[in-house]
Amino acid sequence: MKTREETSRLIRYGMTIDVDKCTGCSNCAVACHMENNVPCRTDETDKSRNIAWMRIYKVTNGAEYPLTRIVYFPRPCMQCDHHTPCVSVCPASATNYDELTGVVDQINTRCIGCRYCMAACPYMVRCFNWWDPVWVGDTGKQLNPDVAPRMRGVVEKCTFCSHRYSKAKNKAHNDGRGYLKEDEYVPACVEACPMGAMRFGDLNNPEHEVSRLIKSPRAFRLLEKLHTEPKVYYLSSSRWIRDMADNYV
Amino acid sequence: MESGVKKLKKGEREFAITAGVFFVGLIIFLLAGWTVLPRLSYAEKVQPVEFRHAFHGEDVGITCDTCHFFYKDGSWAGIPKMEICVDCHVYLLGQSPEEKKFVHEYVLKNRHVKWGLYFRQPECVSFSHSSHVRMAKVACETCHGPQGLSKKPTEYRTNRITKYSFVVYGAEAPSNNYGGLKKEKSVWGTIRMDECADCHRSRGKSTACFLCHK
Ligand code: HEC
Ligand code: HEC
Ligand code: HEC
Ligand code: HEC
Ligand code: HEC
Repeated sequence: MKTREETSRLIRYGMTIDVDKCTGCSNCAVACHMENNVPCRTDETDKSRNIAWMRIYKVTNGAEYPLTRIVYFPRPCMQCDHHTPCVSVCPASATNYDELTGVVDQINTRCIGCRYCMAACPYMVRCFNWWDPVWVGDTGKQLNPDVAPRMRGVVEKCTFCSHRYSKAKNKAHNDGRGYLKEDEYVPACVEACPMGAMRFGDLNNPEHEVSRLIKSPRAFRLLEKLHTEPKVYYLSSSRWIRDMADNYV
Repeated sequence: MESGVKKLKKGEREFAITAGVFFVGLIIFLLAGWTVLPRLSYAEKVQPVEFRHAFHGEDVGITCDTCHFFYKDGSWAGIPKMEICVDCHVYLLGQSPEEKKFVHEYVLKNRHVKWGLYFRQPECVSFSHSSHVRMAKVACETCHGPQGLSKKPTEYRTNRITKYSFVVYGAEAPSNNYGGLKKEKSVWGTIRMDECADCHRSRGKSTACFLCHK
C-alpha cells in the first residue's frame, strides 16, 4: 500500500472537456490525425474499419422540436486509472499503465494484433490497422517525425500525445529541471480547441486548473458505473447530459 | 565371389545414398550458415571522409561540444553540419591528403558530407540527449564507447535488414558485446533495449515503455 503522501505526489495526467462549450467543430479530431500520423482511407464511411483516435459523438435528447437539444462528445482514450481493461487483457504487454504518470500507452511494435483490448475497451477507443497506411498524395511528406507510423495488423489508440510529454521532458531536462509546468505538456487536441473547451494537466496537483474543474458539480465521466476511473472528465450544467453519460454513450 | 563388404539390397543402397547426400548437404549448409551468412547480413562501410576524432580533440584541442551541441530548445544537433567545419577549414590548414580531399570535394563545392550513422535507433524509439547528458550527467563514453577518440577512419558494419550497426575497434577498447566476433576485436554498436533498461533500473529511473517508445 502506498501512503497518502506518496499517492498524492504521483502525477495523474487528465483532461476535462466542457461539452457546453463544444460546438462539434472537430478541430480536435483533425489536429489529432495530423499530430499522430493517423492514416485516412479514401472511403472513411465505414466506421467499423476506419481509424480515429479522437471521435466526436453527437447525442440528442430525443425530444421533438422545439425541445430538441444536441450535445457533442469528443472522445479520446479515457486513460482508465483502475483495472484498466485493455491493459489487463493484453497478452503481449504491448499496452501498459504507467504508475508514475497514469498514462496508458500503446507500444505498436510489440502488438501482436489479437484485438482482445478492442473487445475489452468499454469506450471503443481502440482501432485496428486492417491495411498498411496509405499516404495519399503529399500527405506522406507531412508526417510527424515524433510519432512512428504503424503497420497493418496492430492496434492503435490515443496516448495523450505521450511524445509531447517526452519532448517537454527533454526541454525541461535541458534546463536542469525534473518536473513539468502546467502548460508545457498539452496534447494536440487540447491545443487545437478554438472554444477553449478542453483542459489538460495533473489531476493530483492542486495548482493545475483541471484538479479544480473535476471537483465541480458540473463534472462527470462516461460509464462511471464501470469503476474504471477514467481520467477524462466532461463538464456540463445540463442535468440530462450528465444523466445520459452513464447509460448511452 | 564374396567380398568383405556386405551386399546391400537395392532399397538399402538407395537409403544410404539419400542419407549420405542429406548429411553432406546439412554440413555444407550449416557451415555456410555459420560463416557466410553473418558476413552477408552485415554490409561493411567506411565514412566518406576520413575524419579522426583524436586528431581534432588532442592535436587541435577542441571539446566535444564545439561540434556536438544542444540547441536552445534542448534538441540535439547530432553530427555537425558543414558550417561548423568551415569555421576552420575555409582553406587548407595542413598537408594531409585527407584534408585536401575534404576541402576540395566538399567545402569548396559547398556539398554536405553524407556521414554514416552507427547509433541510429529504429523509428519507434525516442531518445533524448539532454535527459542523459545534462540532467543525469552520463558521460558520452558510457553509451558511445571509444568513438569520441577515434584514431583512424571509422569502419563500421550495418545489418542490411535491421540497419543496426557497430564499429569494430582493437581489442584494447571496451565493448558493448555484439556476439559472433573474434576475441581479438571489440565492437561497439547501436544500444539495445536491455542496455537502456538495465541502466534505468540500476539508477532507479522509470522504465515505462512510452518514455522510450513513440
Ligand atoms: C571537429 C568536430 C568534432 C568534435 C570536436 C567531436 N566530434 Fe564526434 N563526430 C564528428 C563528425 C564529423 C562525426 C561523423 C564521423 C564519424 O562518425 O567519425 C562524429 C561522430 C561522432 C559519433 C558517432 C555518432 C554516430 O551515430 O555515428 C560519436 C559517438 C561522437 N562523434 C562522439 C564525440 C565525442 C565523445 C567527442 C568529444 C571527445 C566528439 N565526438 C568530438 C565531429 C566531431
Ligand atoms: C577548431 C578548428 C577546426 C574545426 C571546427 C574542424 N577542424 Fe578539421 N582540422 C583542423 C586542423 C587545425 C587540422 C590539422 C591540419 C593539419 O595540420 O594537417 C584539421 C584536420 C582535418 C582533417 C585531416 C586530418 C587527417 O586525419 O589527416 C580532416 C579530414 C578534417 N580536419 C575534417 C574536419 C571536419 C569534417 C570537420 C567538421 C565536422 C572539422 N574538420 C572541423 C581544425 C578544425
Ligand atoms: C545514455 C546514452 C548516451 C549518452 C550518455 C550519449 N549518447 Fe549520443 N546517442 C545515444 C543514442 C541512443 C543515440 C541514437 C539516437 C537516435 O537514433 O535517435 C545517440 C546518437 C548520437 C549521435 C548521432 C546523432 C544523430 O542523430 O546525428 C552523436 C553525434 C552522439 N550521439 C554524440 C554524443 C556525445 C558527444 C555525447 C556526450 C556529450 C553523447 N552522445 C552522449 C546515446 C547516448
Ligand atoms: C529505457 C528505454 C526503453 C524502455 C523503457 C522500453 N524500451 Fe523497447 N526499445 C528500446 C530501444 C532503444 C529499442 C531499440 C533497440 C533494440 O531493438 O534493442 C527498443 C526496441 C523495442 C522493440 C523492438 C522494436 C523494433 O521495431 O525493432 C519492442 C517491441 C519494444 N522495444 C517494446 C517495448 C515494451 C513493450 C516496453 C515496455 C515494457 C519497452 N519496449 C520499454 C528502449 C526502451
Ligand atoms: C548509463 C545509464 C543510462 C543508459 C545507458 C540509458 N539511460 Fe536513459 N536515463 C538515465 C538516467 C539516469 C535518466 C534520468 C534523468 C533524470 O530525470 O534525472 C534517464 C532518463 C531517460 C529518459 C527521460 C525520462 C523522463 O523522465 O522523461 C528517456 C526517454 C530515456 N532515459 C531513454 C533512454 C533510452 C532510449 C536509452 C537507450 C538507448 C537510455 N535511456 C539509456 C540513464 C541511462
